[in-house]
Amino acid sequence: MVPSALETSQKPVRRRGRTLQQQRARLFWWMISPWIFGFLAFVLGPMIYSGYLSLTSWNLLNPPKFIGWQNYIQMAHDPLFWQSLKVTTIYSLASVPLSLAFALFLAILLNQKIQGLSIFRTILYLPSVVSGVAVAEVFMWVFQPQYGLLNSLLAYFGIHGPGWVSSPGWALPALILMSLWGVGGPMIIFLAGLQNVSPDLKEAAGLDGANHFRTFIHITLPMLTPTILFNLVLSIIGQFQTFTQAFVMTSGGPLDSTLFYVYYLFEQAFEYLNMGYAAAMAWVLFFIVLVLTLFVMVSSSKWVFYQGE
Amino acid sequence: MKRNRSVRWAASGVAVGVAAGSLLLAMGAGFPTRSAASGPTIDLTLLTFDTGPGILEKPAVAEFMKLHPNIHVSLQTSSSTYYYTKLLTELATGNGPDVFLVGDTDVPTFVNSGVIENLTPLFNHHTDGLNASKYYSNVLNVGKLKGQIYYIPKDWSDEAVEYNVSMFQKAHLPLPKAGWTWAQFVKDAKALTIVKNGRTVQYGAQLPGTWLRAGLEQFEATFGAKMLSPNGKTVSGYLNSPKSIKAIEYYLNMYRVDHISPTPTQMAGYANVDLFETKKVAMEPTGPWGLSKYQKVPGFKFGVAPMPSLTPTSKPVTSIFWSGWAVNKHSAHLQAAEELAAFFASPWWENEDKAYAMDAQKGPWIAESVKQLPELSVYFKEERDVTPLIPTQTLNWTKDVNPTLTNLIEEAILKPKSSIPALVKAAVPQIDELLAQTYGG
Repeated sequence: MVPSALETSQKPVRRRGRTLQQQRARLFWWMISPWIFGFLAFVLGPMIYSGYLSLTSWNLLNPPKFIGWQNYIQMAHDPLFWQSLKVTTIYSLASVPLSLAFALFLAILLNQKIQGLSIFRTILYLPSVVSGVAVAEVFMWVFQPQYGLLNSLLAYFGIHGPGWVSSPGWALPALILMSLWGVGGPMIIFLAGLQNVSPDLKEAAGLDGANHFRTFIHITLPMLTPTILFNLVLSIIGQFQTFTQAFVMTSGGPLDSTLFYVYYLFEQAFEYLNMGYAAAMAWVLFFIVLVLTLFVMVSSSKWVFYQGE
Repeated sequence: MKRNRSVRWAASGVAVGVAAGSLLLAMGAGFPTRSAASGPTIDLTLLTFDTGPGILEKPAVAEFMKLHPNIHVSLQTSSSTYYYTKLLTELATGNGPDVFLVGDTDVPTFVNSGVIENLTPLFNHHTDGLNASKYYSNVLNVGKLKGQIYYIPKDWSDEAVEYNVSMFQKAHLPLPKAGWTWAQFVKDAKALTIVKNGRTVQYGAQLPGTWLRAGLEQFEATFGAKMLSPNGKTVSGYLNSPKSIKAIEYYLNMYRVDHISPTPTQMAGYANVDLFETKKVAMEPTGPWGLSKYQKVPGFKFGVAPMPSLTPTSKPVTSIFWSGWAVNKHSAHLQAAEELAAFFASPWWENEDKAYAMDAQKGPWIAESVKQLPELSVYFKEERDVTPLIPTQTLNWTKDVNPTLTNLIEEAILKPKSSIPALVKAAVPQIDELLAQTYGG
């Protein structure tokens, strides 16, 4: 019996006695081995040790003293721990979708066939390679209430701008706004994703009478969902670790309105000399991020479309 | 076949490991190393936050090594922002510097944790001029705990009011002088505050905001109040005493009622700009750090007056700002480390340091400094009157007291209608709870 064309195509391709799948697996392990080496050599040990430290009272200067789960119990009763978690959650809830949407918007613009495209791409990517501290210093002046760029601009329209980072009500929104500055990374990834969308599909949709908007919603966006998933996971992890803005610009104030989780962790470790407590906070953050990542990954089966499926 | 593949996989892993290891070794090989045979026999490390790149410590280390050819000193510098992160991490990993600089607030932390050497015997037996009696006693005392000397003072300063002469003249106000009061300060500051179109374009003063040493602590002492019990274990009955509340109200009402100064959150928005130098404020109670810089600004006429007093007959109060050298108890070369620390008490150091700070020892240097910068004389007059440091009276001021008081100040200023006694009342149990945790109560 002659196999059908479909059956032929499903047969594993063999090269030098190995299936394509085996070759891919081998390539995967080759590519990931530097990371595995780095993880085993430099990360795993400190991670395990920090787990132990989270069960101790340690001021960095004297040997750690084992205290069991006391740091975790204390955390539950620490109003600043809850405040830092609240600030970080609000920040992440606002900045993750906002920055992803903005990055996608820019990527779509940069995917157009216009003159000087590489210059635009470079300009829009450039901010994300600037050091976080330098960006924070610049934004201190953007948000300066009296002489700052933003309020001077608002004044042109007769609007009396708020105190931004000087105001408890506006400090966090200001930092959320500032988070858009660093969308260069996800923007480039979105751009790569957009260029992977087959023009044949768009053309076919066009022939079926779909306009640009419907093509975007029904063709581009579904084809882009693996990229969105990747950027979403990275953004969640990144935003929960926000530190520089609080460290450089606000010191967690005014009135703890920008007390980010990692900044409070840093304060506990190096200002209050509670390294055990800080280690416990790090583990709590690890589990929060892990749960959120797992949630996104599990839910992805419902909304992520892979081209090969 | 399967075994062969496993072997190949293992070999691949090893190859990657070896490659990465080689890379690390190659990177390491790029660092300069000194030959043990040809180099000095003792290696010491000195860590400082002073003057960023160690502008003064660099020649000091060179001079020390010239005097001690068998000792090599590696100088590490760090900006004050990252200094304690670096120092604590190094100490925690057993790689702490042999000699390091400590700021006044952290004096008890390193003593009580037992990581630094008691230097009293060194003061008693050092043959090369290290002598406690040469120091200003109030300056030496900052580094003393329970009668023992743990730090060699590097230098110090106190607080005075720097003022812009041109602004006073323009407002037809007499210049501030010794014997003036806080009431006069506020009156002048109000007259010097200029508001145009609802925006303050010139402030009468720049107050220290949440910087407790220069602000709240200073006012507590001015009003004869104490915010902490003598044993450092409670603020109850002290911070909320009538005198203390009066002091806090006086200080905060300069922001809330008189509006003579940019608020702490407004100051944060200025991102380290010196508002006195840029002529946005007329007066600033502060240390002498900016004087040599102001001297170089063309046409900038400024003066310095002693701190105001509460009444014309009472004495003014001024805070002390200080840093000192500590010797790591776990140094592998303790004697050499002590010798290095003692070098920072030598005439060579005092002579060089005079150009940058106020010398800790009595000697000809003060007269020479004042000759170069006459405005310094006001600062030097007040050494005997400096207020003892409150933070050194408790085990962990930075963790237990500082954050709550900082929040109290911020909240009182951001909510001008809030009741200060109520804010203080709420702060007291919060601080006491943290103090109890520290003292195991």
